[in-house]
Amino acid sequence: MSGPEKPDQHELRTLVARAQSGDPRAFENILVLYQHGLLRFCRSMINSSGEAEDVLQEVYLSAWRQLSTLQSPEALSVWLYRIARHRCIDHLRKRTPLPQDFHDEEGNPGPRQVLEPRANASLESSAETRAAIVELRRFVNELPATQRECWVLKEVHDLSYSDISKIVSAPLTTVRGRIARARVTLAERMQPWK
Amino acid sequence: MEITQVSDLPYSCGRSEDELWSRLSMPPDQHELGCPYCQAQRQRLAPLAKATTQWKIGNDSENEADTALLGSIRGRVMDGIKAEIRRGTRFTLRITTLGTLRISGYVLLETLREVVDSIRGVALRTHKILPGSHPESISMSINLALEAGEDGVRLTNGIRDALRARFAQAIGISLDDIDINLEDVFHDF
Repeated sequence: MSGPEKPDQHELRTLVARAQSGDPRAFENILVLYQHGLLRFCRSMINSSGEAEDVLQEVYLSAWRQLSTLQSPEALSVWLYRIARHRCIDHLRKRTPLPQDFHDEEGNPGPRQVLEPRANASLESSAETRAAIVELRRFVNELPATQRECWVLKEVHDLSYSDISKIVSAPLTTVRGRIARARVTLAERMQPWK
Repeated sequence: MEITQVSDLPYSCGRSEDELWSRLSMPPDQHELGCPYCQAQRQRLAPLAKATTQWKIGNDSENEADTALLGSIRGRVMDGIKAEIRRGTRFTLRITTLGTLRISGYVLLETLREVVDSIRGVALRTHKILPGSHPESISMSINLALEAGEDGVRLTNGIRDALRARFAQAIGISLDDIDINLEDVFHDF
């Protein structure tokens, strides 16, 4: 993934320590490091770009105000995604009835995004690839929300099972189960793209 | 009730789907070459794996498209945060018969950061300004990382001198204690 280079341990500790001491430039540098991932995560949770951008602002402000609760600089990424997740869930609660699948994931599809229909069949492979991605995004959006967030964090954000478990506050086995189920569903729905 | 165990259980050949999934971008190993079960699962997972990889690659162009938008979101938030900081703690600079002159803690912290950042061989970590022993003075507590090979005593003495000089000249406030803690060593490659 593109974006600024990941800081080394010393740089990360320095950034976090300075931000916790009230240095706005250090905090802004932290935002620059994580902004693309956080926006993508908010979009995947909310399925509306405009609303995801509003939520992202709330995530930034919450992060600033809660900086003192960050115990370890190494946990920065998990801590930010946790805040993002909470803000997204709060937003969904206010917007409409919270998708049931945040409480009971079986059988309740998440909020659906209106996406363009699958492109006309084309022999051109790049067009086919784009269409496959559109389809995959649609299928991911149709997963139960708890599966969707875990799958996205694992496969799109490359986070470890352990980090995801901390972000979604669920046991490791539950996270593994959700991702495994999501994979089964998605693999099945992607079969026509063989 | 959420079901937690699904297909992450090992295949009948002993491999787990997770294991196979993590190997999909690589050519089949010896086991997979001879295992019809793994071969079938590879085929089943291939379209999903391909689209997922393309999704991640597509994030790069999405990132580029989002850069301006993210800059504007960040700018708005940072403006709010800076306004909040400026309204924060104030310290007494002078007590006169006409009233008390106070200074924003943000100005003091910015001055502290500017001084320490100008000194090579150290990196400023946590830092704070505290009220001094009398109303027109302040104290400081500073944590630093020291670059490997640097003389910590010489540098901390230099930092104290530079801070006292700058705060006296630029702000007109005297510094009481300047507690400096060297908490880490870093290597500047």
